[in-house]
Amino acid sequence: MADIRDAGPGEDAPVLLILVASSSSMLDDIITAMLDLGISGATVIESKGLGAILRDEMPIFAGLASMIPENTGSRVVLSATSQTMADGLFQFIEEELAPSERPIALTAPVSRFLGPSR
Amino acid sequence: MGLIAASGSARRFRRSRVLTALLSAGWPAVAVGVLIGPAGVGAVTPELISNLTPVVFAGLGWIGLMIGMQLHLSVLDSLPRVVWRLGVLDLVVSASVFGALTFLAFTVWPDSLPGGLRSGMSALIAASIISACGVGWSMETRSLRHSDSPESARLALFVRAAGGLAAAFALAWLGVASKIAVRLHSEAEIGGAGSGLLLIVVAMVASVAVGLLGGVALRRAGKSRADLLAVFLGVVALSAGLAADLRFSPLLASMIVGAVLVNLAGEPLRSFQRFIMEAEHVVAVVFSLIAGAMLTTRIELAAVILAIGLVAARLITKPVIFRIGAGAAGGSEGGDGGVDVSALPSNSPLFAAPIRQSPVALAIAVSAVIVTPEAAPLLTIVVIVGVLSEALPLVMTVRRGAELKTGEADAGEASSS
Repeated sequence: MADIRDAGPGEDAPVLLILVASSSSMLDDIITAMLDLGISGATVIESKGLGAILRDEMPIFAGLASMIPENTGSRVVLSATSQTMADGLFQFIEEELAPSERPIALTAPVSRFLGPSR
Repeated sequence: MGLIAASGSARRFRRSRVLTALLSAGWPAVAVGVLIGPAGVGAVTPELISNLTPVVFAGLGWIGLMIGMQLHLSVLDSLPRVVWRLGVLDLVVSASVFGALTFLAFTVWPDSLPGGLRSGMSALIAASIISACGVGWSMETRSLRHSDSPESARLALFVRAAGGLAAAFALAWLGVASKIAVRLHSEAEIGGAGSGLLLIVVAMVASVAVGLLGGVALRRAGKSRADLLAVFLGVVALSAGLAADLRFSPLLASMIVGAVLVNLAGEPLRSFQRFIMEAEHVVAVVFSLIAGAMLTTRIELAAVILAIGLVAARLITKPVIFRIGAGAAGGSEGGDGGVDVSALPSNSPLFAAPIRQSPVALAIAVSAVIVTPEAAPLLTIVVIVGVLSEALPLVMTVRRGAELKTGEADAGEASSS
């Protein structure tokens, strides 16, 4: 298992991987791909898009829609990993998922990291 | 106007509570429609409106589908009992009160009512349409919430959820009541009310069949957005065309299709559902514009009196229905999911939320006019009721906002001194 503590500067520099999956099926594909690539640590947060928040309090015809989780729910996946792993996941997203099924994905450099030892 | 409604600037405008109330109800679009329509400068002629009939049917189909696609059995099953109680109570009281008022007005003043109504429609048909328009309320709650308390959030949820349920009830009531009323009115037709009921059953079975076909088509379309769009347009066209052929409500037909689709199609429907729901505001604006253009300003005084009477009825009945329906049985610990209304300030604008007419009423009135052009004055009555019923909640919102600001200013002064 790759560990962020092993990652150094350069090609394998540590990065924060941020993904926003708009449906549970999209999340399922992403989690599987992450595990295939060896990324076994991540935090998944239930979230709501701006559009969903705007619609929630201002429904016009569909007041019950705000009670349908699939209609409004999205998930944010946060994982501190290495650049190589992130590249692998981006390659999977680009090559394996249809454009409409792709999550929002980005990485940010990590300058410091602290976490529980395993 | 549809493009403006979808823009980021329009979303920014809707952050203001007062503008939210005005924009969500679609009144600015209705006003522009009136301005450019035959009642205004005449840029949109009656012939053009007539040519737009298929577009109006598509719009009605979209709205019906949107309402039907909320009716997933798991969602209905998980609704708190209080939402069901609110929905059923509102349907029974509103259909009775608004239907009786309209029937009474059209019976007492038959000569002073618009000519089209006298010749083409009976009081019973008009009563069935207006009573369906009276069911439910506007589901927008952003403009009315001034507190982040759990009670306030729960009450706002009830306004939205019960409003959504009531929209489905209104369409079901419209489809059945108006069909029976039309049949009772047309005694010359063979079979009378009996064949009317048969036609309702046939139309409903046909709508279920379209829903099943749509479900199969959706599964075949998979995740392709273009294929999903093609299936969607096909479903809307088929259900609306079917309704037109059977002289059945296009709103109810497409609502049944939506309910069947959402319960059978499964996974492929998710992105389809999101696509339909995301267009809600745009469809509402375009539809309000068309409704404004279809509106007639030639209505008799009696129709105006009826509209004012309907507003008065909303002012009296809706807050009572809401307080009784949403209040917890046995206090805040009641097991039916109710809310302890005494925990909220009595001047909370949320209590006035149900006074506002549901935007679905506009769609119902337009569906009546598109099938029977003589019903145009009914659309005007619905617009008058809608505009006037916005007034009190809007005033309460402005006053409550001012009170809270004054309270904050006082608290600020006290802490600084």
